[in-house]
Amino acid sequence: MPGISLDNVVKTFGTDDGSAPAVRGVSLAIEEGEFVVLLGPSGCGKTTLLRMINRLIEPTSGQIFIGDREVRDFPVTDLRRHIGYVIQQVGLFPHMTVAQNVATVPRLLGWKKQRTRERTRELLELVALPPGEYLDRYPRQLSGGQQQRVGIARAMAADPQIMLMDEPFGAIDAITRSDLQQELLRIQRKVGKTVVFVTHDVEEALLLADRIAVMRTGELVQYDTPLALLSHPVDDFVRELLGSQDVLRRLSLLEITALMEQESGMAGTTQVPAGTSAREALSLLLGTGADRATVVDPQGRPLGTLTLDRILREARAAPPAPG
Amino acid sequence: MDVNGLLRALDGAVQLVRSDPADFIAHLQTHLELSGLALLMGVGLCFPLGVLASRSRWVSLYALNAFGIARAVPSVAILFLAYPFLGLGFQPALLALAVLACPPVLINTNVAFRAVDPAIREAAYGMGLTTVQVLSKIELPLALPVVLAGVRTAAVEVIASATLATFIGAGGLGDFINSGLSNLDTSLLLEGALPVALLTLTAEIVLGGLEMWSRQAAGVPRG
Repeated sequence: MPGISLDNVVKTFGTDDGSAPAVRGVSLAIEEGEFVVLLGPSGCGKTTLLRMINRLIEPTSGQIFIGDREVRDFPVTDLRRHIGYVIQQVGLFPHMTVAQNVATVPRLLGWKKQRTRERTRELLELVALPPGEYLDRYPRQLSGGQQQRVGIARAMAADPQIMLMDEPFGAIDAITRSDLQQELLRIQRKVGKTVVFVTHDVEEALLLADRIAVMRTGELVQYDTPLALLSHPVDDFVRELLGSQDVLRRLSLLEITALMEQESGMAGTTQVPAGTSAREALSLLLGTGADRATVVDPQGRPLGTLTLDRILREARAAPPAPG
Repeated sequence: MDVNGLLRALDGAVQLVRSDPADFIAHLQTHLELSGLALLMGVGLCFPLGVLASRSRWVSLYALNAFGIARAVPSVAILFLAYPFLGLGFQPALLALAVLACPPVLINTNVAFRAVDPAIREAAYGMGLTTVQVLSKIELPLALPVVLAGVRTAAVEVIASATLATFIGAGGLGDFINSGLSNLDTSLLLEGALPVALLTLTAEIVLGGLEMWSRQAAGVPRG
């Protein structure tokens, strides 16, 4: 069923005549299985737009469809039980164990205990928290990153086709955030949900999105793939939003196997999995002080060697930022 | 009074209970009924009101101020204020004590529900819990420790203040204290005062225990 389409959606808060609409007539089509990032500075209306999809906020005018049904046609609790929702502050229930948190929606849907238990274990494995160790823990016993892993597992519990994620990694330290982004990409490759993901972090948007919807002051400015946005920004706002640190951004779109050398005299002691971006490999090498790393496949077999020098040469070779 | 005097008075109090156990039990029973019912009424009215106050600015403004003022009035004054309107006896005393039970329950309930992290509420609604489910399964367990702390304060206040009910003829253990005082009969005074002290202590301990249990259940074992 579900792609999501928004048709001329407007949201005005308050009743004052003078109040500016938070969302001004946004139309957007999201394909089934697509990962769309709503990107923009704070106050641009991206979170409001997201929250209108699961009706935590009702639009002032316009329509939102899931598949070919308007969201208002569903009973609101039904709608929400079939849409995964992840927020920045996670919002785990502190009086429930990890297992109980994850089982929230299956219980609401009246799943059998056995099925819920199996699904909970499966999900914890999916988000890389060994169930034996984590099922019976309480949220306060987890780190911020682990809590958000549980948050994601909880949102996916009833296998919703649609996931709404509101800056899920915004409050998490940079290293953990990068891990979680990779993890999310891995999960998305596996499960292929329709994801709408809000962020103000350009790097994150470029890394995760199939398509990015750039928003400013309640309007949709440009809706395109990351590469198209980088190469053909429609105006100065988009250019500036995406343009700074352009070199690093190009590196983040570059996969390391493209840069590695297959024959090498000396293997690196640091290992990086194939599929890592050149940007990450760069920060890893700069962080460890190593001058080279061994690129390994998922089974840990070496594929080749990546040198710091090669990445830096690639960075210098990249054309300067436009404008 | 020296120690021997106190011991004699205590002994006298025990004798008084023994000489007419039915009378003692009747007074104790009235005292418990007054306090228990007043507490029930206070909680029954102010718990829902406190929940409402936590979500509505208007309810919060009016209810909290009204009971804030009520709290500033001494309990004995509330009892006497009830007298011209409701006359003497059990019912006006009950009403006055119920009013007395209200402020701590109302204030704590309001604070407890306001203290629930909005992110938790948003996540709950976002997952498709109904309003009733969010309230009963998420907010109540998290708010319960602070609500129970309010109930504990109210219980202690009500049990202690129920001794004053004697002044408007509602009976209770206050009868013993009052006549003991006016007749300078320490034994009689103690026959009333000691059970009241024991009752407040028991209420404090039992409700304190409940509060600790609810803290564990809410996932906040310390503080």
